[in-house]
Amino acid sequence: MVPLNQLNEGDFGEIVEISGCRQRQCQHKRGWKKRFLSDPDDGRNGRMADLGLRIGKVIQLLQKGKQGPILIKVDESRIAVGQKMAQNIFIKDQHGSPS
Amino acid sequence: MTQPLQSTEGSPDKSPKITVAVAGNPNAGKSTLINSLAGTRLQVGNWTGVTVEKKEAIIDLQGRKIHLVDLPGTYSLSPYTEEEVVARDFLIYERPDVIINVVDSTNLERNLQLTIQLLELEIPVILVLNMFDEVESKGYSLNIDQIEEVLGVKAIPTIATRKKGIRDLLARVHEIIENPACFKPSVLRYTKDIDAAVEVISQELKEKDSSVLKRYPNRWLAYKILERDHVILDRLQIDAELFFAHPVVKHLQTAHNEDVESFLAESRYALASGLTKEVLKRPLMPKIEITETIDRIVLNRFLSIPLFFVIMWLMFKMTFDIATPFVDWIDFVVTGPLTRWTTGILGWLHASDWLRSLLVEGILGGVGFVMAFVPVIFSLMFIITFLEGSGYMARAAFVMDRYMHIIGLHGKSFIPMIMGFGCNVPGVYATRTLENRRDRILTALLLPLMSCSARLPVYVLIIGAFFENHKGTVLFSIYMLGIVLSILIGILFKKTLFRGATPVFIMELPPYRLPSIKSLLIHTWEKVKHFIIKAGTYILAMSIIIWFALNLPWGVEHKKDSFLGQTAQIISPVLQPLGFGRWEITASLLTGIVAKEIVISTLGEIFSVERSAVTTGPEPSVGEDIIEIGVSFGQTVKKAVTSLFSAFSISSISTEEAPESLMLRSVIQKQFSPLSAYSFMIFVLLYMPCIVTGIAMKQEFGTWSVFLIAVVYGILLAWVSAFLVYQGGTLLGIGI
Repeated sequence: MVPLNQLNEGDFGEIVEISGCRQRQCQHKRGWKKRFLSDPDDGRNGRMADLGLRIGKVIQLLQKGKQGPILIKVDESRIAVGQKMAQNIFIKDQHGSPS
Repeated sequence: MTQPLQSTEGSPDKSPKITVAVAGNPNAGKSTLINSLAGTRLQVGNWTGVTVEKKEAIIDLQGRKIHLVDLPGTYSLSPYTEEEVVARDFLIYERPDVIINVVDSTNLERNLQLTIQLLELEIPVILVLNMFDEVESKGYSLNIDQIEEVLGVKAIPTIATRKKGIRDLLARVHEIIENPACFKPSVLRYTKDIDAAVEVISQELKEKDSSVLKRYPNRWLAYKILERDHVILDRLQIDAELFFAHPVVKHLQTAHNEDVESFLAESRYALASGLTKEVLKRPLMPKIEITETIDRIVLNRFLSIPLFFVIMWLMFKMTFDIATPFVDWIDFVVTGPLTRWTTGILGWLHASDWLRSLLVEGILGGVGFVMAFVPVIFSLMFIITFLEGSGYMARAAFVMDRYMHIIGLHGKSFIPMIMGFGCNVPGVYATRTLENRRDRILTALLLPLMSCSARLPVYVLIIGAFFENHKGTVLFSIYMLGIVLSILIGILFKKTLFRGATPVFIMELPPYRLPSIKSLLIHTWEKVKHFIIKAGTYILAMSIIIWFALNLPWGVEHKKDSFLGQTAQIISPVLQPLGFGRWEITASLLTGIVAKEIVISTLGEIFSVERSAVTTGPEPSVGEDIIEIGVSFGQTVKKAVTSLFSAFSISSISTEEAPESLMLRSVIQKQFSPLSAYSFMIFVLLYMPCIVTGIAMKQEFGTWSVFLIAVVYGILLAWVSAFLVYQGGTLLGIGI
């Protein structure tokens, strides 16, 4: 099991764990900052799931650089994932094979 | 809320409003579909209560008037962006009579997740399997009958770009409207324990005598209660905890570690995934898609950045090449024939001198001048819309992401910023696509540093007067200064006001597609209209106010003694250390608060650049004028086309200035030194966003504080930057 950003370009892998918060109550801001900056929703993992990044999904890493986001293919979509987020997605590496 | 369908029987004239909502994932071809359904009847208006725009068209369907509503693209009914909130709220609280759910057939599983949520609403749904040609070209086979059977909805394959399937779709809409009973959706079953809990809660809800609750289906309310969706429950005044006391519901909660929301979401995904596996057969060896091939070049580690800069450079070059001839043409029409006609009519009406001056110098001069910049904004927004529609803009966000992190933002914020170069106002509205309020506000705060095209006339005048030989370099330096300062201010904000929160980047990169001219024009217009409205309202009003401010108290002999002159004289000492302490300049900056274009027209007004003085020879007749307008328009189009394909240079920006402008230029040369003129340009670039941008910020964020912060830091930054440049230059003896 490795974080998504440690996969090589072209490799396939199955998502086995996504750490972080799914619940929308995930807000840590207080006082005026909360009023000024708070969001209606902040469940980032929920967004990932909507885009197809869920446990059990087989993904393919299309592109990655030393810095910057990672491009992956899930089903028929190409999804760009930031480095920070990619560290929270854990993959069972299947190397060059989709199955 | 629209009336229930059952009551629509009777003559069509008396029938209540029928609303058909078009919903679907982003990039599912929704816009193209709605364009083929509604044609040119699509109107863009504002939602009541919120500022996000809705697109609506009234179409006639066999004698019935149908309100077609185009909703912003959304991945699910749990919204993460402002746009998605709008789509969710409309579907839930307005409850349209029919939902046309546009689905990208090539990406069925993800699209069906939304379909399932829509079906839970128990509003008649028509499933539109769009881009069906791509399903075939990819070698997929899709069992439509099976989809219809499992979901209990009618599925219609369409190719919106070629208007295929539209007739079938309209027939089905008509069928449902005439006979709502023909819509028999399947009751969605997830897992046994969810279904049991839903049954229990629906039963309890049925027993409650609440008119609010009766508007919504009990099963759907039960799902919301299980998810503890506070946004909806609070609005409907439902206490979810009351229902969790029941043993069946309690069991569900305990079995899933208190997180029923996630379990329910997973069950929906499982249904979408299972259904897709059943109905969609993929070939064993998938074809390599063209998008992937293009991405290998566009997103290549070494090529992506140079390619990005080439595209940005081309964007600005094309904007100015196409627009400049049109700017000159509008300028010619306004200062020439329009001014002559207005003066003629006013003379014929024996209008008094002051009215003549107000209409010709105040209004026509002010608004006309601003309208001349519509072509620049239109061209830029057209190219931006093309880049968005083709799929490149999402790649630009991808490429820029790592650099945007320096200023505490991620790649997506780059798109509103690029738009800001055209006009800051649509840039502020474009922040809606960002998930996070922090990112939206920070992006909006940095936007004013992107030099919008309204500031361009000021640069053009100053550069023409002082830097004739280094036009391109000086202009480029001003734009770059804005970008460099936005990085510095971004870092400052990241470390102070916006400390702690980390931006998260997740974004779909849509497949490359060639957008149609029609859809490009529609979407360009949506962005440009903010500028035209600004010219038609705020700038018109301001032109009148400025005229009065310069001519009151009544009968004032010297403009210096007018209200505007007096106010400017109080403030001007503050600007003295920046190299432009004259009251006339201060007055122009004061009026420029409304819109920066006005700076130049105020200067023209104060220095009384006479329009009539530049006319030589006998005045042409109205007929000659009309012919001249037509002929010159033809020449303008020719000029735009040839300059687009001619030598690659941006130096063509408004080199042919109107005679009036040339006169103003000579006046300006007496007011500034090259150094103070450069300092003045920096001040105009930075001193504050225009009022219209401020109003957009208030609308988007619900508070004036964002604008206030932008004003305060803008004025401070402008003063300090101009001070450093002017005093530094003076010390070094440059351009004094």
